[in-house]
Amino acid sequence: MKSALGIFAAVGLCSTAASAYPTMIRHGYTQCGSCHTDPSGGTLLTEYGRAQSQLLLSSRWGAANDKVPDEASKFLFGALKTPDSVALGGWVREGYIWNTVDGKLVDHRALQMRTSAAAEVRLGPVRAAAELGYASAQTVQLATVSRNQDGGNLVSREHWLGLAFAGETVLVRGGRINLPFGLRNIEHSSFVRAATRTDINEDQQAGIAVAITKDDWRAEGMAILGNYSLRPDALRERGLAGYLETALSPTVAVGLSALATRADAALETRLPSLRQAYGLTARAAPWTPLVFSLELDALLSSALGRSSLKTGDAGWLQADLEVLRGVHLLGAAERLASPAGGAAQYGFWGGAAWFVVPHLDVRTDVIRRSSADSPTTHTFLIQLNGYL
Amino acid sequence: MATQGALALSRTGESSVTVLAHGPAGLRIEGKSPQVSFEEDDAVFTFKVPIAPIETGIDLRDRHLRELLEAEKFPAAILRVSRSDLTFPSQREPADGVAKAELTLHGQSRPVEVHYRAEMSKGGVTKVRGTLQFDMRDFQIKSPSYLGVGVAPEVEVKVELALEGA
Repeated sequence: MKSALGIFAAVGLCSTAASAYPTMIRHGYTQCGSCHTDPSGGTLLTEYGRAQSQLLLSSRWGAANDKVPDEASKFLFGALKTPDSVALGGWVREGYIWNTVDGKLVDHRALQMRTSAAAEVRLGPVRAAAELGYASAQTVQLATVSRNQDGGNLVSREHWLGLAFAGETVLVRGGRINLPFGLRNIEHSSFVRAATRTDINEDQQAGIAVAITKDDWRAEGMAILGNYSLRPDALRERGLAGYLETALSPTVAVGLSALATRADAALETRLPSLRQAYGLTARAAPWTPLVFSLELDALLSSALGRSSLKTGDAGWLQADLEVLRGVHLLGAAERLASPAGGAAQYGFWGGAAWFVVPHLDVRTDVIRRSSADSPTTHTFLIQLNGYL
Repeated sequence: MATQGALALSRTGESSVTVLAHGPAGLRIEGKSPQVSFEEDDAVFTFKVPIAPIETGIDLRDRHLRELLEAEKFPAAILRVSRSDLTFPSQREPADGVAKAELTLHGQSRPVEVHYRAEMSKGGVTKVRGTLQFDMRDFQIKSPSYLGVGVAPEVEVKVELALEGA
């Protein structure tokens, strides 16, 4: 049984990944809305964001640091001109994964991690955005549009319609939206993202959200109306989620998050349940090449109609060191004490990411996870990400 | 400002100027420089901030800033404040207030208000903090815009100085 659990944990560790870089705080970007179409960060880049990607993320290959971003930063390398009111993007992320349990290789395979295209249109104060892609069998199941049980499916991680006002500092949106909670980190299988179900890979939900972005604080609150990729309706969670983050300086930000959802049938137990999470986040760049990201979450789960309240916690501490422009060494430690019970799990991540050129990055990770009641797993993952 | 006698910048390196501009969606652009020079005569304090050393953390943005302010043609921002508009601190009591001043930037001179606080510390050093706001359009500076992201014309400036008796 322990081996089976370990295999399940290792195999489920990595599937699709999206893009978000809270570590851009190293450049004084505590906010997300200038570079991303989502005011809380992640996914599609604005034209300004594409330029910053070339300027600040990618290797410079000898170019001067103040060189003006060129056509290479634009959609399809500038081959297709788009109106200023339209942002287009696309991703092809492929990977290969090896999983070991107690030192034995139990799984290795190619991963089709992300194949999707996205667009955002701005007409005056009106914003409309959508992403549509393809996911191979049994992956990204919480974002599927089509219903093919045994094969690949169409997926749409987000699609929303919004209204911006107050100098673009307020955006009210309705649709399928990333849940506003915690760090919007790319490591979607990290305990903090998985335990709170707030990753940007497939955990988006339908709802109405209000995002406010000021120069020294940002916040988003969302009324969650359910994930309509899930059926039947009893499985859908409804409730509230939100975060508030304040910038103590251009390179230090701290935040609070909260989430409370109710479902008639929880995914794990099929019982009526209330799920809560309360989090503390911090991002700091004490030195421009080095960024620390921290998230500590309290997890609460209760079966409705019963008096039991189960508690747990999840934590994540990551260091990102940019040793050369575009080349990052990554290390993280994490912990999960699940409200569902069992021994606390610990994880250690080590890896490197290289933003080779504006539309291409590679990343490799080694992840070790262990607990007192299950075998130790190691995951080795290499990813190649192309961004159109 | 420690006394009404002659003053000079302290050599402790505690002087700095911070320029803060705002863009859409909460964009905050902060430029900093440690280079502030100070001169005085019988009637006027003159603060000079060279434009070229101001750094925003992104080299291209620094270049855009220098181009916007035509730093080669107008290499410094200059603030002149009359002594008579200032209250001076004593060993026991800090001084604060609002002084009328003249800001010269981009070849244009305009009146501005400076909020300041001066406090004497041990060792004869007086720490002065001043803030002012101006509108770029008043100085014939175009509000910058880059790839659809504009910057509001209202700009805040914070100056911190450590002064000591010469």
